[in-house]
Amino acid sequence: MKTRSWILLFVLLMALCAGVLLLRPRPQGQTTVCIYQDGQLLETIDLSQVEAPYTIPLTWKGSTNEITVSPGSIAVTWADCGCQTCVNHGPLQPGGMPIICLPNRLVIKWVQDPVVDAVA
Amino acid sequence: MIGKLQVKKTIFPALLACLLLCGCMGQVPSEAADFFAMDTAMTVLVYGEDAKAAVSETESLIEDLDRQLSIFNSDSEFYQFNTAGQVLLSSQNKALLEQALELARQTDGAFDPTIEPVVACWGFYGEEKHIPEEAQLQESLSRVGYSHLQMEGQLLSADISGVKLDLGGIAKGYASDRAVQALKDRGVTSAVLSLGGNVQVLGAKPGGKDWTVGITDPLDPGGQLGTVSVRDMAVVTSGVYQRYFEEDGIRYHHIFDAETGYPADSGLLSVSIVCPSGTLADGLSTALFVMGLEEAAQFWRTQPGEFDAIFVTQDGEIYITAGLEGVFSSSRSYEVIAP
Ligand SMILES: [Zn+2]
Repeated sequence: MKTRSWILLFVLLMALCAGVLLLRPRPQGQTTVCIYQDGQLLETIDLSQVEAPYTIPLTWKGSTNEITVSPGSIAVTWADCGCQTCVNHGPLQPGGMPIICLPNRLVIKWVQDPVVDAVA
Repeated sequence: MIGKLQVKKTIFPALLACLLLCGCMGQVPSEAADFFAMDTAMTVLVYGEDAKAAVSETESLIEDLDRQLSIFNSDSEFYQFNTAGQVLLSSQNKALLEQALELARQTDGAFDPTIEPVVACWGFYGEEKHIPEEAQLQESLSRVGYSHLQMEGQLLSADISGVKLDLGGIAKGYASDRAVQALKDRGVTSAVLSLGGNVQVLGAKPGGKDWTVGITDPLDPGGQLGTVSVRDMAVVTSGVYQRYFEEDGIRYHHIFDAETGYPADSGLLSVSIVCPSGTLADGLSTALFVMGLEEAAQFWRTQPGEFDAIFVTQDGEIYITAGLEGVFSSSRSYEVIAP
């Protein structure tokens, strides 16, 4: 009886721990990106859930960035910002700099970069 | 009956232990802010119970420093110097300028806080970057040189007219130093600041691991060429990809050589500096870029233990100084510069 209780207790505890671990918030989407304009979060997109490519036009004080979201990928594909740094950046890469358009105050970055804590 | 009692007696402590274990594996509270200051995008991430207040304090501190150091803010002392030719500096600004001058002397002018006329001449302060007329460039160049600056007490002046300051080369590093100090003062032990290409980390990550900082690949600025594992450290990169314009297929970047008045053509594409001081890392990343690989390696040898560096040459080769062995990791091959 005593041994059986111990086994039961052990199994119960393991199940409980497993449950807690599974229900714990996961490290927030390493495939998820967020789009900020002027420090405000505009949109959060899980790139692993994207099925077909689409574009998001974002206009800031009359100047536009066209963001293309495809399965597993995000990039600024067109902009009339003058600097074109955002377009030349290409797709957002794990471990790389966020996509930044300074004149339009646009930042596209990973919610949690899977590779690095920061980029210099 | 005995068995059930036994279960009841043990279940509570066991449950408690389990919950504690799971709790410990949970996340330390954190707070982040994304904002624009000093003409760049910034991110501040702070861990700990006090994170929210600490982040907002950091943001305002950096915005204050932006106003204080900007040469375009008519209230700033440096703007006043640039327009009037002299100014009474606050002790804070005087200390910063002295740091800048010390760095200029150490690097024999490879870092020069008086480069402003040349940068202006190339249009890098506005939208219209362009190759200047040679005569105009020479006139601008004649007003560049940190040795023209004179400090008498708090009074800053120059021995010729038209000398202008631009502390942009160390402003972000200075801001991250100040921000990290303020975070320490309020008891924060874990934080990471990204001020454009300037990264500074406080302490280690929650859980005690080192921070992983990516080093931008100058040939693919959206990607990285490797990482460094650091704690209590600044990591700053200066590279040709940061601000530039192209004309007839030639790239003109923002890191100017105070000797020639042209973008430094030293055979390098980028220099990353790793050292505890953000200000030093910032200034040295510019200076060593201007020096080029050979001279920079020699300079590093004269300053043992002060800093380490990662160089990328125009051929895409990577060089690291010996102190980064075991700190830098990359899937690409690289050379180690021996002391
Ligand atoms: Zn842009």
